Amino acid sequence: MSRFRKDHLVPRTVLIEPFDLAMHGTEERLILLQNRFALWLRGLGGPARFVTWQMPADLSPRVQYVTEMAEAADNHCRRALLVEYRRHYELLQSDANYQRASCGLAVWSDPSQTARALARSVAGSFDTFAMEAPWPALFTGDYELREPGGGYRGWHLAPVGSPGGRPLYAFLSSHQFQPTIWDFRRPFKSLLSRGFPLAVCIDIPKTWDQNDAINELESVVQAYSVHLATLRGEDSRSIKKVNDCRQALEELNMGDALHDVQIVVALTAPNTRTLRDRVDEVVKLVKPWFGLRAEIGEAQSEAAKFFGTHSTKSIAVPHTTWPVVSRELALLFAPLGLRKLAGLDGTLRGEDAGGAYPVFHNSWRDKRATHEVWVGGSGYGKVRRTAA
Amino acid sequence: MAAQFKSNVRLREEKGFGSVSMKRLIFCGVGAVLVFMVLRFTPLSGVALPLLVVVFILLLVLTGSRGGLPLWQRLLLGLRGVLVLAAARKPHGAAAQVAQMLNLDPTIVHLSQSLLFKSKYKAVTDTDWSEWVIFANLEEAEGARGLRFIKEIGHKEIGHKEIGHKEIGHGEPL
Repeated sequence: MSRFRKDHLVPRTVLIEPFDLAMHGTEERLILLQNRFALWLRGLGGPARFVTWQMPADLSPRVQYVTEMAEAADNHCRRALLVEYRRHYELLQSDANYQRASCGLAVWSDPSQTARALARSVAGSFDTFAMEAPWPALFTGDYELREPGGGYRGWHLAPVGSPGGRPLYAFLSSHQFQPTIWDFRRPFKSLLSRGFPLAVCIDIPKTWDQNDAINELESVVQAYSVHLATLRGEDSRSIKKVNDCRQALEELNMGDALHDVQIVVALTAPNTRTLRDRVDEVVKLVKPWFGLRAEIGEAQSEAAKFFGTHSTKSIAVPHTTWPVVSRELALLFAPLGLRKLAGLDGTLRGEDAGGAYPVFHNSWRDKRATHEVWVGGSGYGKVRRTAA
Repeated sequence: MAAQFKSNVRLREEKGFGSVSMKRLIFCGVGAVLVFMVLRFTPLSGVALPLLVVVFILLLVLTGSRGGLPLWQRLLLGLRGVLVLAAARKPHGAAAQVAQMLNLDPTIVHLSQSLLFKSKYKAVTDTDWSEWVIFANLEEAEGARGLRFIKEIGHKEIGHKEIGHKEIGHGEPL
């Protein structure tokens, strides 16, 4: 891509509906999923960013919707059923501390490419619903930068004026990916299982041209080969580096692309002491997979821009990216498979695999002809649920 | 469904001495020798040799990495943060003058949701005229952001086309 075109890339944003990874329960299905993600990522031409927001949520809109439906219902059986639904939702709500996981993807592309085309491409490749839409805001109102103090030794953002329940924010950036095994569950499942609101950004500022990437890695291999040939003694890290480079080269020659990646995590807390505990908890939790550092000074303010459509170049933080190939990057999209309370639109279909969240699905939202087969034993509730 | 992540395949970090890489050793050595050579031409030439050792150790400490950043960069970021905070709190104070001199922007201290998370290219996204939604039947379009017939002022039936969030042809007779 020419320099002229790169300067004119514009961000297109889509929101992606997360799915339940348990639906891809077998090893073969998960490999297939990874390959699908990787194939899409191979085609990236410009910068991209994937964000997942895990925010507190409840069933209030659904309860209100069902209440209004019940009031408007003519049929008394239908009304009774809707009232029963409302009670069920209220019961669920009383025992739960729900969180909503939303996912968004931004791709910087040529102005001629539309967000709708991106949404179609994402929906086709990721096998889930995607729609062109602006991203939700990470926080509401005004915030300001605060220096370390009040029980937390790091820089953070605090709400300006009346907090009104608005939390403090701390931004952590990745600086090192550990050479260990990653999969769709580790480390993101444990990270997103925390009971507090957080957001994770996978920033992909650069996808290398395949020839450039191969040349780059070959030069590293060459330099290390000279170093190892002249070295007296053992240098295990250099040997590992050469092996890693050769494996990366093999994967690049099989069609993968090389991407520069950085993970940014936004953590929230009601006060500085809790923020300190949460930062320590998250840093310790992900340490076996990647290292996180709390951004310092004005970089803390700048890091908030990762959760919007600001280009990475315009974000003044130390960029400590890590090179990964497409099949590795595919695993960083794992939050897509951690649905939680995804949406309240449609019909209640049951619970997620873990039993922690009710699952709603609307088969008719895009007005396609839809056929559903409801399978269940006698007394399971097929007729009643369909009637509702 | 798993992948073994690799070390940073683009980074060259040949072994030097202990945990210090060769690259860092060479940088610190060259820096210390430069200071030594400059001091030899000044009246402080007597302390040039001890200073060479001091500068070498100082450079080693300052280039020590934590959180992916060398110490000097972490110190610099902290200092800049303190300066912009002071400049934002006292816009006419000495810190504000220093910040202005160093071309630092104190407005970065204040973040507004409306500015930070605004989609800059929304207009481009929503006014793509090539992306018309096509329906086989008019009934399908009803309520689906497509072509709709509505009753309007003066009991005239007029057309109303809608694409995305942008309304066009409002009031055009069909």
